[in-house]
Amino acid sequence: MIDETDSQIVSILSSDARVPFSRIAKKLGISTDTVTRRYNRLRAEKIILRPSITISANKIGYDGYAIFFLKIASSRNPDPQEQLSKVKNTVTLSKSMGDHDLVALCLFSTSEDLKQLTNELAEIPGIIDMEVNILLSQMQITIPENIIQYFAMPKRDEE
Amino acid sequence: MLAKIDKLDSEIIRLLQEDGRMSFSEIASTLGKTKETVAKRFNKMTKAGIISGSTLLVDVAKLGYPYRAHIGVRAIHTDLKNVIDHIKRVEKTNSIKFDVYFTLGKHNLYLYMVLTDPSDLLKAKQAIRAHPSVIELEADLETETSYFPENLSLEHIMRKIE
Repeated sequence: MIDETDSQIVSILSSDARVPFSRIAKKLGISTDTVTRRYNRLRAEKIILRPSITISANKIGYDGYAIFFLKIASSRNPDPQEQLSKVKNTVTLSKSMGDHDLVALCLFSTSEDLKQLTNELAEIPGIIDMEVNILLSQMQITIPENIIQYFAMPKRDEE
Repeated sequence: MLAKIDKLDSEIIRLLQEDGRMSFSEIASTLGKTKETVAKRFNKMTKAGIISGSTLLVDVAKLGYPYRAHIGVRAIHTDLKNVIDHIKRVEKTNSIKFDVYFTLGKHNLYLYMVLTDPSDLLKAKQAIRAHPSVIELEADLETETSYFPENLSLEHIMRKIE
């Protein structure tokens, strides 16, 4: 469980993970030791997985994400999910409940890349409907805290 | 414009992705370079916007948000600004966390959200739909998610550039 102080520490470090503990301490009116101790505990409990820098995908060759909303034939066996996971640009793949059956988030770098990706997905047997939303990195509205956590999920061995 | 990064840049990025609080001197001694070189590279990449900042990767489930959901919103395009303001108000009053994106395609807004309880998705849907400029809304609650972090690795990105 985390208390108010923990959550303030997490919040400060979420917007800048490189802030010195002494500055956090000053801001919250507690000692640097307290901040260090709490930080170490949060890491030990794996509430904080790790601090990390964030990279702008568009600066290194990715123009954006394509979000595919897919419907699959209910009788389909085996599940097309396994094939989907092999599509090279897939970052996350979720089974879902609601208006669609699967949501896939894929990175793409060029329009050619996007075309290939769409064709590749459309060829997977069992997919009966596909909708796509293009999310351009330049079109971000809010800071992508959650999205980053989502895309940079813990490596499998950490889970 | 594509920013150019070389091997040393990518090694610095890799170390900082694994531990975002690593000091320049620690990075320097790991890579056998001087602290000044590391600082210079870091500042160069920050200025170029390659490194956009730093954050904590946290287990959102342990922070009280064990559920994830997607909402696609189709709204009257000329009134998007008001719709976004409305969505931000919904976020505030319902203790739901959203990331909001403009999208091209079936929807013009895409919301990725984390939830305390699945019923919050229904509340969010109803609250967003209440805005007169919202035409259509589609929602999905994640039940199981697979991650492919290797697709985001720097090696992959560097290969792409070459």
